[in-house]
Amino acid sequence: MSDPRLLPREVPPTLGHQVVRAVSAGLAVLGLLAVVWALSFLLAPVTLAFLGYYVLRPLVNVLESRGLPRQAAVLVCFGGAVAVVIAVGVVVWPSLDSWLQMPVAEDGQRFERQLSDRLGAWESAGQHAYPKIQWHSLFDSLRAVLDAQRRELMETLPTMAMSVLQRSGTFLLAPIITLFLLLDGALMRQRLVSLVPNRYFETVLVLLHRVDRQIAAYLKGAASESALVAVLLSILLGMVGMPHALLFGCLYGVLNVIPLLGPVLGAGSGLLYALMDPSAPPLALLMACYAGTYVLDAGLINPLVVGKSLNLHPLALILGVSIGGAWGGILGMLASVPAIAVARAVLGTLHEYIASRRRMA
Amino acid sequence: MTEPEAALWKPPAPPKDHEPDALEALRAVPLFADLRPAELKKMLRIMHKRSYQAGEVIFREGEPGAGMYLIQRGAVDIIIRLPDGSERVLAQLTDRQFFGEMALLDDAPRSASAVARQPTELLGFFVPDLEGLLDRDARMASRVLWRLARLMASRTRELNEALRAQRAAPAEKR
Repeated sequence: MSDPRLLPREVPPTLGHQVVRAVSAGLAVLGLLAVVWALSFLLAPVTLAFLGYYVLRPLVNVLESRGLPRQAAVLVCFGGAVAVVIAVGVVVWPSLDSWLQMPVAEDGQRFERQLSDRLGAWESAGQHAYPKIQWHSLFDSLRAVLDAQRRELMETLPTMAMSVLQRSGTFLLAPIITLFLLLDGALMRQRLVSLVPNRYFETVLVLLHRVDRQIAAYLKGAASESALVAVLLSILLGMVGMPHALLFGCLYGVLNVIPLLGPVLGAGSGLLYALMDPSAPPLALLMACYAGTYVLDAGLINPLVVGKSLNLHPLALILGVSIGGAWGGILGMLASVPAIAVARAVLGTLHEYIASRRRMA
Repeated sequence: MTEPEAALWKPPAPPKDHEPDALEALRAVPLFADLRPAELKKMLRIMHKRSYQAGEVIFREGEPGAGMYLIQRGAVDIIIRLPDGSERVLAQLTDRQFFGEMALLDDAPRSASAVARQPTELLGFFVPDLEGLLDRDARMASRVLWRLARLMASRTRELNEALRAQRAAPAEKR
């Protein structure tokens, strides 16, 4: 049963067809970008919703694999997550409440006095140890920079808090979207894939799967690492008597997800606060806590929990974090690594597809 | 609200119209022989329903493969390309037969092409679906994998016997 012409031959597209295809693809991409732009106010809640979905999905799957119906497993995990968020809120709220109730002027004066005392002590210590160095001019510059930063922070924080509160309605969408993704995510993906023409169906299916696996592997590791680091640092900060230890521990845990820059931002926020709060422990002690957490994370927690789930080049990370930060601030930086992983999965699959078509031609 | 509008606002639900027919097709597949009726229904919800016109290529030899297809209704030719560039029909499959299952186990390119000989409806089961099943219902997934492993072992044995027969034939001639 040998026949030279059994398989329908693929006719190579003419130049006209190629132009029409390129223009159509360009218009489709522009249309998609326009839709994303128009719905950009939903970008943050949708990003948070997917984050919640990827963090909770493995837990839901574990419960389901132990015989619990999907809906019940989703409700247990979703309810548990909401309870954890409420519990953290209840623990952190008194700190925030007392800070918010303090008049801005009084707050500012207290911090200003403390900052001035600390810097004065350091300046006199430096002057005593190395009198030939011009410590005075050096510390004057430092005072000016820190004071400007403090004023900006004090003025912008309430505005930022108000902005977050005003957008809380939009952010409430995040858990609702997460809930429906957990319940019907697989079916939604199946429906989406069913719209793809036969010719591209398998490629799109594999592409979605690879993207899904890359994000899931990264976020599972990152969320576990974040939680472990937050707990560890909160305990250490609590032991040395740092005010709002849980708040700064959680802040460091979340920011730690940002590659390279995250630990610096997390430790910087705690140290800056300690510089201005008279009840904070000595800076050297706090620095030891942050450094100890960083070393434990880099040497033990990260290799064990995250491993080489993404195996990205450091240059790609630096560029990704810079672009994410410029585009979307802290949220952009947090989303940069999964975005690079998605881009890599998409490009890798497309490359494989094009290579296989060329091989067959 | 018109019917299409109503459909737009409905939550996603698996289509029911083809269910009895598709369930019968699933029952006939040795790969799913160990599954209970409730598990077969679950499997049906996971699988992808695809329709092909007569002469339409389902996949081509050399393309990356994602999984297997079960013929719910219709007929499919499995075609291989010979070293001289001509093509040969390796198998002609009809209702309730399946193909492409090797792609469930490895990332190797498709070893043959598949073309619909007449209007054909297929049910697809792919690596992402299998991995998802392993995450959510490892017991059921392991039953499918166990059957798949046995199927592969039986095919390897058949291949070995065919090779042995091929080697023995020239020796007898001598």
